Amino acid sequence: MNLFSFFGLIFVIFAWSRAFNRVRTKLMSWREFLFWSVIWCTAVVILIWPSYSTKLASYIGIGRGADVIVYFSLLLIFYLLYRIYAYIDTIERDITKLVRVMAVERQNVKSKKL
Amino acid sequence: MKLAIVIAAYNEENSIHSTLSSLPKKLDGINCIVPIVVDDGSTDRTGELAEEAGAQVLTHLINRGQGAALKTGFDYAVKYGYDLVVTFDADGQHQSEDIPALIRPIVDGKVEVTLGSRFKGKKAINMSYSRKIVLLIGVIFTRLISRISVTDTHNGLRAFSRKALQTIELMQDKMEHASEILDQISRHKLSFMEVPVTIKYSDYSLQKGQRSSQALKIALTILFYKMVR
Ligand SMILES: Nc1nc2c(ncn2[C@@H]2O[C@H](COP(=O)(O)OP(=O)(O)OP(=O)(O)O)[C@@H](O)[C@H]2O)c(=O)[nH]1
Ligand SMILES: [Mg+2]
Repeated sequence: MNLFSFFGLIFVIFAWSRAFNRVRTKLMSWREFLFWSVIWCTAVVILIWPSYSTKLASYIGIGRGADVIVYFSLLLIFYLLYRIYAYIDTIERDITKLVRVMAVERQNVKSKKL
Repeated sequence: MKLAIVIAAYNEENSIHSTLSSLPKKLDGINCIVPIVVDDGSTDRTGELAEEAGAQVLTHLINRGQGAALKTGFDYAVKYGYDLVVTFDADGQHQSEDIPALIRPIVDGKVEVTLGSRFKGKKAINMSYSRKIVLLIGVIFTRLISRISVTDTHNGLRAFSRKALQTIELMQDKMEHASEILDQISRHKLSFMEVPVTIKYSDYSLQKGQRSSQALKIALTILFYKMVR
């Protein structure tokens, strides 16, 4: 095992344990934890047996193992970015809705006082 | 008929009073005119001053943007039985003399929406060339994307019938709502008409107003939402 895999493994274990911690304190659902577990497990396998990625690469027709990892990581990052974007968008809309309801409510109260 | 004049205002303490006092007190065919100011989380005295000037004030506790503020005004107007809504800017760029001609076609039942245009006879005072070009591109963009042909796409002076307000569902909180309104008029086949109006660019409005570069962001947002819809 080279130095890169060593530190890679430590990082993965750390990230995985964080996810587990969030499940334990009910901040993350089991479904989300499963999603991250699949990703971190794949990372562990590839870190310990890098040759697997080469096999996978030739299987799906991409030249080198390292390329497969980069492609998949990019896809994953784009997907996660999209998720975060959509999530923020929803929150923004919800905030607007709240602010709107409160505005109309306050006006109601004011005009009743008159 | 009951008319609400909805004014979205964000930090307009310098102009809100004069804007409100310029509004017409009487209009043909209208028996009740209520100015509704949506104070959008202003950090100055906009809300207070509007109340002093006799407007109904709806207060957004935090700033949500002009589109969000207008929708708040629209929802309120629909809820409280207004027949007609005019949207008017708080920064002194709109002229209250344009309101009678703007509401006439709706009062007469000819159309559901009227849109102010600064490129139809009447003029825009002190408008820069760059703004003119940006608006022209906006016209072409809107014709291609939303299939609606107008001469001025981003004019905040408009009037809506109650039916139009119930049909148009604004989703865009920020400045994109202007394109969105046109898109929905086209999609729901609401009858509309452009009315010539005067827009004044003063030092005050220019300093507070929008940068032309905003236009690109607006175009991209509209395209994005058209694609995902
Ligand atoms: N509610 C609300 N109103 C806003 C906001 N920003 C601007 N407005 C109001 O919307 C109106 C028009 O805003 P401007 O920024 O002048 O936009 P514009 O008139 O389309 O652009 P210019 O031609 O550059 O002046 C004014 O009455 C502003 O007070 C905002 O964040 N929230
Ligand atoms: Mg302005």
